[in-house]
Parts: sequence; C-alpha cells; structure tokens
Amino acid sequence: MNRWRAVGRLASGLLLGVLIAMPFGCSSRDEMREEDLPAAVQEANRALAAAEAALKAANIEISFENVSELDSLREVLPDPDELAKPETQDNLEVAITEFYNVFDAMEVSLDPLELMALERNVPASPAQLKDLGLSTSDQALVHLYLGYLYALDAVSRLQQAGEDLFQIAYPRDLVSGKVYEFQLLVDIQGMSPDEVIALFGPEQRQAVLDAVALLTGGKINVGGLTPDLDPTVFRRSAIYHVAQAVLLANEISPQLKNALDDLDTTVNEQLAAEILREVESWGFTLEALPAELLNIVQ
Amino acid sequence: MRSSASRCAGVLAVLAVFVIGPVGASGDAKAPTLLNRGIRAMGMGEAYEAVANDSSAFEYNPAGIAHFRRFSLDLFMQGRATRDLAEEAAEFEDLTRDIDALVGKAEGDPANVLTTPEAQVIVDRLERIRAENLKGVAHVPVASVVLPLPDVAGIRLVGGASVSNQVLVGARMERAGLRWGSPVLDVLDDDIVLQAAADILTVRAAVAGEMDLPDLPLIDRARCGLSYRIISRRYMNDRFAIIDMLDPEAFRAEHFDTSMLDDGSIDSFADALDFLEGNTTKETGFGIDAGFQVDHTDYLTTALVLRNLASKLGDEKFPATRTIAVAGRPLQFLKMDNALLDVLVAASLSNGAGDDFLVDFRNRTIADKLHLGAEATLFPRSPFRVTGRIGNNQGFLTAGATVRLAVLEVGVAYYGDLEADWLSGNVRFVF
Repeated sequence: MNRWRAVGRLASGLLLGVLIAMPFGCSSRDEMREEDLPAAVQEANRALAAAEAALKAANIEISFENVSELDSLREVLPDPDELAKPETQDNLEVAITEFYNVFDAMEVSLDPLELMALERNVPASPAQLKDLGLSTSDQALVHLYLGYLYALDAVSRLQQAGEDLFQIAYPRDLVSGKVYEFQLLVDIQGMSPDEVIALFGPEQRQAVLDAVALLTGGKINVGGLTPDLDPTVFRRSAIYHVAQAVLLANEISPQLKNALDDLDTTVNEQLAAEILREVESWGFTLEALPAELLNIVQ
Repeated sequence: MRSSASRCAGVLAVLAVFVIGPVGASGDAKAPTLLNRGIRAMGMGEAYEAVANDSSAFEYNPAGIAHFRRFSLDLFMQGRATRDLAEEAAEFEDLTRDIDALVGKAEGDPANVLTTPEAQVIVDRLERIRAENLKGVAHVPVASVVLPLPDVAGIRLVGGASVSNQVLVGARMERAGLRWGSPVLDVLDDDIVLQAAADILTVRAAVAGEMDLPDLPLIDRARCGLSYRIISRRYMNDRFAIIDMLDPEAFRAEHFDTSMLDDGSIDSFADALDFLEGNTTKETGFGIDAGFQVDHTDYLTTALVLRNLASKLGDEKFPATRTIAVAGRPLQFLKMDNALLDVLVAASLSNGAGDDFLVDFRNRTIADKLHLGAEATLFPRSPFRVTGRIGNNQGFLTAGATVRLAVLEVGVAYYGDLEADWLSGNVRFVF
C-alpha cells in the first residue's frame, strides 16, 4: 500500500508539474509586428529604409530633429565637391525615388503642378487617390527630405558641369547670408550677356536649366533647350516640397511652422533667388517662375 | 429525493446542451468592463470556477456561494497594477526631473529642444514605454454578504449580494506612422492611448442551491447558482499622437473639455468631479451569470459557468464566455488528508478569454483558453493559515500567497495575462 501511495504521489507531482509547465511560451501578447502591418505600410517602411540607406551611402547625415538648424542651410548643406561625385548624385536620386515610393505606397496625393518646367515630365497627378493615412508629421518630414534632396541634386549637377567656367562653393564671406556662392571662374568684365552665354557649352547650359527646374520648378531659356530630368525620379521642386512641409507643419504647431518658414525663406532667397540672379546676369532668360520667387529675384 | 435528483440532473443536461450549442449573447465590448479578479484566483491562474467557495464566487461562479453554511460578511480592498507601471512608478522622480529639465530647455530655446540631451533621455524613456502597458486598477472598498435561506424541496438555498466600485486608469503607447531610423522622428506620431474607467457602483445579487445526490452515479453533490449584476460607470477612452502635444492650446481644446472650470484649471475636489463628469461617458448595464459545480467525490469537483448569459452595457453587450473547469485535492485522493498541509489543483478551459476585459485580445491557441493552478495551504484547519499558489493563466505565469489570521487576510499575487503582467495586493476581513 505504501508503495502504491508513493507511486501515486510521484504521478500526481509529475502530472501537476507537466500541467503547469506545459502552456508556458505557448501564448504571446499582442504586439504589432512588421508582418501584421497593412501591405501599404510595409511597402512605405521598406521605401523609407531604402531612402535612409541611400542618404547614408551618400554621406548625407542630416536629421530634421534640430529645427533651428534649418534657418541656416549652410549648417546642413554638404560640400559641393562631395555632391559632385557621380555616385553621390546616384544615391541622392535613389533616395528621392524611394521617398516618392513612400508617398505612392501610402497613396499620398501631391497638388497638381502649377509650374511649368516639369509639367510635361510628370505623370498624371495622383490627386484623385485617397490618402491612406500617412500622419501629418510623416508627410511633413518626407516633404522636407525631398526639398533638401532636390536642392542637393541641383547643386550636384551645377558642380559636375561647371568645370573651369563656373563653380558653386561655400561662401567666402560668412556674413553674406548666402548658403552657397555660385560664380563664374572667368573674367567677364566688359562682355555682353550674349558673349557670356556663348562661354557655356551644351552640358553646362543643360545643367543650369536642370538645376533651376529642380530648385524652383521654373523655366529659363537658353537656345530653346528644355530641362532634361528623369520623370520617373523628379516630380516637383525643392521650393514646392519645402512649402508643403511648411503647410503641414502649420497643422501641427505654429512654432514648428515658424521654424520651417525660416527654411522656406532660406531656400527661396539665399539659394534659388541667388542662383537665378546670377544666371540672369549671365544672359539666361527667366521664362516662368513661381510668383513669389520672381518678386524676390526682381 | 429521487424526483429532486432527476430534476437537478435534467436541469444540468439542458444547460449542458445549451453550453455546447452557440451562445446567443456574444458581444464586442470595446470599452473595459471591469471584472473583480480575486487574489486567490489570480494566483491560481484564474482556474477558479470549480474552486470558487468564497466571496469571489460572485465573479467566478455563482454556484460557489452555496458553500456558505452561515451568514458571512466579507470586506476587502484591492489594488492591481501592471508590472510596467510599478517599474515606471519606481523611477517617477527621475522622470519628473527629466521633464522639468526638458521644459526648462524648451522655454529657453524651443527650436532646439528636440536635440538636447534632456530630450534624448525622454525619447529613450518613451521608447521603453512603447513596449509597456501602464495600467492600474483599484477596488475601494468591496463588501459582500451571504446568508443561508430556507431549504426548498431538499435544496439548500443561499442568497448573497455584493457591492463594489472600481477605478481603472491606464495609458499605453502604440507605435504608429513610418519607421524612421531616428528615434526622435520615429516617436513623433506614436499614439498615446488613455483609458480611464470608474465603476461608480456595481451591485451583484446571487442565489445558489446545493443538494446531495447520493443516488446518482459519480455525483455526490451538485450546486447551481445564478447572479445578476447592475453596473453604473463612467469611462473615457482617448487617443492622440505625441506630436499633437507640440501645440498645447489646441491639444487641450481638442481632447479635454474645460468649459465647466471657472478658471480653466482644477483647483478643488469639486472641480475634479466636474471635470470627470464633463470628460467621461456614463453608461449603465447589467449581466447575468449562471454556474454549476458538481462534487463527484470529496476530492474531485467539476464546474460549468456561463458568464454574461444575458447582458448589456450602454449600447453593447458584454462578451459571453463559457467555461468548463475541474478541481481536485490530491492528498484526499491519496488518502493523505492531514491538518498540516492541503493541496488543491485546478484547471479550466474558457471559450473566450475568460475575462471581459480581454475580449479584444487574440485567442489563437489552446493555451490562450487554458487556466491552470495549484494551491498549497499550511495549517488548513487552523485560524492561522499560510497559502502559496502557482498557476498558468493563458500561457503566462501566475503566483501568489496569502496569510490568514482569524478574520484578517493579507494577500499578494503576480499575475500574467494576454494584456500584461500584473502585481496585486489586497487586505480582507472575513466575518
């Protein structure tokens, strides 16, 4: 009898232990995992990661955490010589493509183009599409990155094409307020605009046209050339994206909007307008520009 | 006697058929319906339907109140907090210091505030909190009375009532938006989900009957019970993104109604009550539970509970659950019953989460529906008793202990469920 009791005790203990231990680890608390996210969000996150990786590959380390830096682009713009490397420009364009893929995945509509230089290149506006719900802050950040990347791409093109004729560089005079200095490397004193523009080869003219289109969406005329930008990469302009970021920031907080207003002003006045003034003085004709920018230039 | 036994068996059979079939009162309550979880049940992994023989029977199985042989009054206070909340609370002083430092930076240089070391500390903290569930529940105080009623047709009847109120406050972060590489950018549009509910008054009434069934095979005794509860409560569920707080004025206007406050701030208890009334939704409801316990021998009990057989809360129904349960006393089975140690083991299987509050959680596996528990009591027949418990609630560890000295009982429990790990404690007076 004692033996049976011992067996019973052992069996009961084993059974109890097995019962208690058996289900551990069989349940898990609800946690949103990547594979649980809607396919659109997964695709948007993939595109964002790819864009950030391309930025890193291009050695462009910027975070828009520090809003105050944005009122002085000089603080966050890389060295034009670095940007002029073809692989850097390739990475910039990969990043731009991927940021647009974020918008596409989340079906974020962009306003129809009012301007002009890129119009023929841009596919049908996705404005009819319904926004899936990319948050205001995410939209603002993607617009900010796109505006920034468009500006860098413009600088990259100018620097690559400039050769001995022109260059874009950090300003020698830091109190000038300029973010970059865009200047000719040859003495044009006493030359007429027609003579100056004759110094520009086809690639240099194209680079100036493309840079203006990227920065402003505007069009300048020289010898009937038109911007030559890949429509699968570029859809708007730096000014457009920064302005969109400002609009969205205003929905979040007036303080944030004020900080981004400074960036908007910097891009308009110290980068785009500066370049436009120079190229106009070199004989390029300003054909179509956003009204605000035209006022600044004039 | 024979006809009573047949009657009872017939009732059980009808109810068993009902349980096997679909339960009509299924619901999808998005707002919490507050369940009073007992310390003992929590320690035993909520495998309590076949065990219920104390005032927790009002919640777990109304048939259990038929165990009472005499008038009983039970008063208790209980608190429960997620382990995450307890850990965060332990570092609360650090958090307030960090927030003060950040506010100081924000006042001096608002544009730069996100890149300061102080902000990084807060972001790190938020990242940690994102994986946490901060929630606390307090029951203050709960009273129940049970008294024997006259026997009817050989059935020993017991009636009881309990009154309770309960306050729940919780907050958790839900990751939202794009997954930015920068923690600061990533956390900006994360959602904060605020949840607050107060059972202003929950009244339960229950009646149960017990009858000996010596003529039925494999059944010594059966108990059945029915309980009805009325709930009056206020609740608030709110959700907002962290970035919404960058504009405090707009944030306050959108998420909180302060129009009832004279100067826009809460300066008194009356203001606090006005604020609560203006910012919460009131709803009332009821629920009906039915339960059965069958003693097959002196060491084996099975149970069946239909929770929320009929129900309503505001415009919704409580989620209905069906639970089958078993409890056994191995020492009695082994004929080793003694005054030094008593051991109880229990298991239950529930078709829902077995818990009103967890209706929105996934129940994917059999383990999600399973509750297992064991309890060992030292000096089970003396006024001084020490009890330890261990269990497995839906795949999560539970444990607990109580010390009872005459009418006073103090208990603690560690309890895991599909939502979180909880720490709980109570003080109880049983007369």
